[in-house]
Amino acid sequence: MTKYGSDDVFLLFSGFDISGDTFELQQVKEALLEATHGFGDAWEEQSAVGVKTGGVNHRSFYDDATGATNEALFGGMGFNRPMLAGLEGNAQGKKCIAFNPMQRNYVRSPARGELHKVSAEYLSHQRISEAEIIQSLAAQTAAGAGSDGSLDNGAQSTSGGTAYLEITALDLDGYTSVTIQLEESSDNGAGDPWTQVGSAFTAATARGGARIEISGTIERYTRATVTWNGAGTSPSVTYIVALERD
Amino acid sequence: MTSERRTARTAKRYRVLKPMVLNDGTAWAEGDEVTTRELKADVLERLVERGAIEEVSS
Repeated sequence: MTKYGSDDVFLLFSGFDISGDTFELQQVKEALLEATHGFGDAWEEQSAVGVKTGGVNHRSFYDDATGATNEALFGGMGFNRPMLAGLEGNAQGKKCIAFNPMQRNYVRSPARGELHKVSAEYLSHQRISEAEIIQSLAAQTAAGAGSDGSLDNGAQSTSGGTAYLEITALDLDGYTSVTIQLEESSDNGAGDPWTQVGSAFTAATARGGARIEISGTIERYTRATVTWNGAGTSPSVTYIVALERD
Repeated sequence: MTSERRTARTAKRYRVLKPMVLNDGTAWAEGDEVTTRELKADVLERLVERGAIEEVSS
């Protein structure tokens, strides 16, 4: 058993990394219930109606820098934006909450004698994944496999899953786009070639987030790779890939 | 007929649908062909199931 603290927390959505400006984060998952007690019952009774929901709330400092909280939050209401919220650290194999929520509000709360604070609330849209980090958030310049290499799941899984990508910084330096790919192999690429899992993440030209649903078998080993499209000189991409196997 | 020629005649051919690469650097691009002489039969079956290759009818 391992305990974790605030230095293990990160918050990414749509390519914005607002971890450094954020000091409170609340992740909620819940089942919708209906009271089913009736006349003659002395205690409440509940039944699950079969729908799960949840969301994320956070409080952060107001920061008007490019890519910081104000830019990240002021235009996001009413949109679905892929989010990764980590509690166990930015490392391969660690779990994070990953989903495609809709931002409900953006609250700016200046107060006398304090730095300005902001908050936002996101409600779940579709599944809230307990995803595993395949490639931790890191900068990469070269094409090829990510710095974390492959992750061994111990066995293949057969019920599909959901993959998430966040690109928090991108300098194409002449290249037209970058493609981040999730790949799979049954033997870590020794005799079974690495191939793309499911459909591809769309090639990126700027920071952003993405989510893809995968059906069927996912092989035992997975990894992330970078492909630079076009021609250029010294590109760099900072990205993270996470996968939930169903 | 030598065993090599017999193998050549019976080797199944597959068209690559998704780029593939081994750790030793051997790579196949979309549209390439791969046969049982290059990859084991069970690996090819897995790749078909993953939608990475499809058998080419002769």
